[in-house]
Amino acid sequence: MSKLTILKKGIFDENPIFVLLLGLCSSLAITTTLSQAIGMGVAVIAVLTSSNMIISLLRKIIPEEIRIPIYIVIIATLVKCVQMLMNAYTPELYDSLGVFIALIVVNCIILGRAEAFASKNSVIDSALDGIGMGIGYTIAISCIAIVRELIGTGGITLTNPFDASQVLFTFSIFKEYAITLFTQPAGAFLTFGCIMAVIQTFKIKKEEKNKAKEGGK
Amino acid sequence: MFNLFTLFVSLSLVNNIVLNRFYAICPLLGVSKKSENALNMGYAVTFVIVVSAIITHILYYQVLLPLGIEYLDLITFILVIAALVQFVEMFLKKTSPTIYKAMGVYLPLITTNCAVLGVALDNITAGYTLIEAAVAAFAVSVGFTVVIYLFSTIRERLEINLVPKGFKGIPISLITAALMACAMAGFAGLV
Amino acid sequence: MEACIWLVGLLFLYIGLYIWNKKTPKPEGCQNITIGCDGCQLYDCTHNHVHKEGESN
Repeated sequence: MSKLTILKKGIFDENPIFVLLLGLCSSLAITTTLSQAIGMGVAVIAVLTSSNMIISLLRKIIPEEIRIPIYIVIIATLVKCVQMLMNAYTPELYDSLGVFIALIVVNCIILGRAEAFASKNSVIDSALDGIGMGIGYTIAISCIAIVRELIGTGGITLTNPFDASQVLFTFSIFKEYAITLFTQPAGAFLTFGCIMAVIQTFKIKKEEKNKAKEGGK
Repeated sequence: MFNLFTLFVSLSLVNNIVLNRFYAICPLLGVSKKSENALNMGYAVTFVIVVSAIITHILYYQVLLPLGIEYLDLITFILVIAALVQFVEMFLKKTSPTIYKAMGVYLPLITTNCAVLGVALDNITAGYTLIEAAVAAFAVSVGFTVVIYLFSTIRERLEINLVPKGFKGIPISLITAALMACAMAGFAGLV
Repeated sequence: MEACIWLVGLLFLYIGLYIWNKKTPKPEGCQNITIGCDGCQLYDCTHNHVHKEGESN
């Protein structure tokens, strides 16, 4: 597989949230604002890439039978490092994300990619796969977060994660007509369900078009 | 005593683990196609969450804090939870095939469940005592069992109803979860 | 120092229980229960097909 295919695969074909439906716990909880979503996405990219690279480096040494326990320990160590770094350099983001940074350990995406890809491919390929999957994850939760924040509060505000008092950009469209349901849990399920329905409709239409083409031939 | 009761009600209904705090979504969407499966999953989850909450609480306060290595809490908890699940599964395989057939099959699915690790970490963050941690864990799992059972019964009905093609399967289940979350939001302010 | 001993001890405990569990056979009648989740990407779950492929290698 070419390097570009590996990178693109994680964004479109095997998007971890919309196609594989992995790691939904954190994706629904932290999508209330766009800053939180991007912060979480960057943390997942960091953990995913580094864990893929380390496991790919060690893939010849780890015995076949006990690979899952070893992967869990490596991922837990990396997540703890990321958590402590976020606590030090981005304290407001750390407070708002809370326990969901620690729950990256049990995020099925990371263990899934380690098992399915990193244990069988070279370091560069695994790193690209990690970056691709992480970018796909970040794009997916950013879409959900944009919808939720726009409809829920009428505008979007991005703050600098390293210095929370500095606002990077903000705009608000219709503050009086904001539906606050979307900032609550019910809105998260609703947004996610509707986005999944849109994607599923596209897939069904594409399949019907393909079938019509083959039937016509 | 009354404190424990309000803790129970608040964690099982008002701050429901699935519909308010989004912890155990993967089993909710994965195992809830038939109601007997859902109920057995609920029993397995109850057992694992309660026992692991007690063990992790004891380990944190008796071992990690005195030695000054609280930064190892994440790795310790996940290793302990995974080891506990392996031990329980092996114990069930050896002693009771009936219980293994009923709920032992769900045990491997619970290892990387956000709920188990999330409850263990939340007990530490909230600073509960051992009894409060056990009651909190039990309340969380009761809330989870109730929600997953109700969800599976609704999903069974949805299988045979007319649903638009784009919504079949996961999207309509998520909309159902949204409606259930609206209903659960009615409990806010109860305690 | 105690941190290393604690971690290594826990790791060996987990790996020991993991291998012991793998070696214990399932009771009769339970050989092929699936909980209806093939195609799932949870590689940690021992019911996943990835573990069966690994044993046949």
